[in-house]
Amino acid sequence: MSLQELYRDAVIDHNRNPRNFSEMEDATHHSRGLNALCGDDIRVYLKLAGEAVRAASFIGQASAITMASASMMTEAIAGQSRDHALSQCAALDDLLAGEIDENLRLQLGPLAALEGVRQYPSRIRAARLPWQAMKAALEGREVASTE
Amino acid sequence: MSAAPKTIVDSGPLDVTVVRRDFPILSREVHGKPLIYFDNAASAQRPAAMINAVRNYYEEHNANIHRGVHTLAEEATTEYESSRTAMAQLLNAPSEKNLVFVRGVTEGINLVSQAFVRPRVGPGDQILVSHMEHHSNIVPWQLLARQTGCELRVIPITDRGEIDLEAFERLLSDKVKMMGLVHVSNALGTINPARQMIERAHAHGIPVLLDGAQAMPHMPVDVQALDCDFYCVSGHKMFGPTGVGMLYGKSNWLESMDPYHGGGEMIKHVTFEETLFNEPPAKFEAGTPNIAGGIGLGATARYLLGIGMERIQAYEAELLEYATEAVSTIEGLRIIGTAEDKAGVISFTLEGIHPHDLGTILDHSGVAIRTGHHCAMPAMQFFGVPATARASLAFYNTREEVDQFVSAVRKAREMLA
Repeated sequence: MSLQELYRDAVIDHNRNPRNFSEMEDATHHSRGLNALCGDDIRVYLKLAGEAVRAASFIGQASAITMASASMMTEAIAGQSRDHALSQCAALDDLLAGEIDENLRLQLGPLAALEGVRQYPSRIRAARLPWQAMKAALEGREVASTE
Repeated sequence: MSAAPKTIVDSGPLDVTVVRRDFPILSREVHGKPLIYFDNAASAQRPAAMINAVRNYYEEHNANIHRGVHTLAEEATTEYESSRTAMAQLLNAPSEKNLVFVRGVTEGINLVSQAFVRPRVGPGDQILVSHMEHHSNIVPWQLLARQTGCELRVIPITDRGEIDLEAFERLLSDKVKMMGLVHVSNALGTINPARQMIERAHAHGIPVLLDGAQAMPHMPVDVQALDCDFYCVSGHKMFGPTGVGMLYGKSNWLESMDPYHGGGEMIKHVTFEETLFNEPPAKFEAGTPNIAGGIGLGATARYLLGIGMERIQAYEAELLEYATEAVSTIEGLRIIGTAEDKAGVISFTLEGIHPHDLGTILDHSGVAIRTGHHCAMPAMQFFGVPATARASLAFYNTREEVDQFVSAVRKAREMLA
């Protein structure tokens, strides 16, 4: 287990310069991801047109793992279908549960940079939080937690 | 002639290289680096004296206590009860009869809230706690408020993390029936002016419980000098076993209280019509207790008495001063809790780094710290932070460890911020 496995360059970059880090005034869906025990608290915003996710953004205060995961998520799901967003969420869960295979890596693309998190059981919930908030937003729930 | 007991009789300053040898775990490595254990406020490490006492009980004396007439039962009972005596000495309680074995501070506070306060309060009455309490000194009182209609009032704290003594004075009235106060804050390190506050509370007829979980490992505690009505300690915070602790209570209160749990040991005589309760402390000790834990706690108390809490306090005061100065040189670091009178706890935030990331990165340097809200969410809310990183010291920590900790924090900052 090396620290560089967890904090890969992409993770550090997304944490330092989070993409789509803003509130969205015309969001059609939004939810809060809250791991109170960890001190992770983010808000995820989505703009849907029919079945398509037109835009995604987030704000909040959280660990580098949550920040990077949220930032990568907004890039991964914007312009994709709602179903695609949910299937990427499921694929990431599989990756974090340790089911590594090349197909999964290919499907996840840049998100596979979060692979190192699986070695740190106490941090897996940090990586999952933005995605669960995204799911909650799509389902009309106000808050999601992975604790 | 038998071998002399392994206690340090030296009365000079504490020799940290000597005491470190008493703690086997301090020689292990984490991620290939020597362990630097700065998470003492969550749970401290155990001296060999305690570990051996527990093993010796299981290997030589294992039996139930207080009831059997056979040799093992008598030996186990003697060992267990000698722990009560050692703890009475450590806390300077008037008698071991003032000490009730509990699972820890949490159970001690629940016991007092239910068995002592509950029959004495109703709607319109108030319970006082401070803004810096651990959840264990908040939630039991909230449950009590729900059960009885009494109200929980909060003593404010200042920006430095000290009790606002003027506001405290204004909260005192004959409506207040109980005060629960942390002696030393686990989240901020503040040592509260307990003796002075107890005196003021008593002037209004208010009994006071002190949560001593973080005081006991760091300083001499004298329950008679404090004049507190109740005092709680947890074994594992004071270098003893988990799942065992002590509740001190003044004799008149313990005698006047109803039992907390019902069962074996706490009775004198049972029929289906009526039960005659035992005297304190047995009245509060239903069921077979954590015998090994109790024996381990006694061994720990004797170990601490052998070193001397004054020497521990003096050593830690110097170490804290050194550590506070050292961390203050780290750019972007803000110490949360800067009371005048502090125990060895440094809670802090670091600009650009979430405490959880810092915790993970430090772990790779062998440094164990706590990150999160430290079971004191209201205190975190007061300072406007969701979580902090906390380095908490014990008398076996060294200046060299502080230096390595500081350089590990600097590295983390380079990496992430």
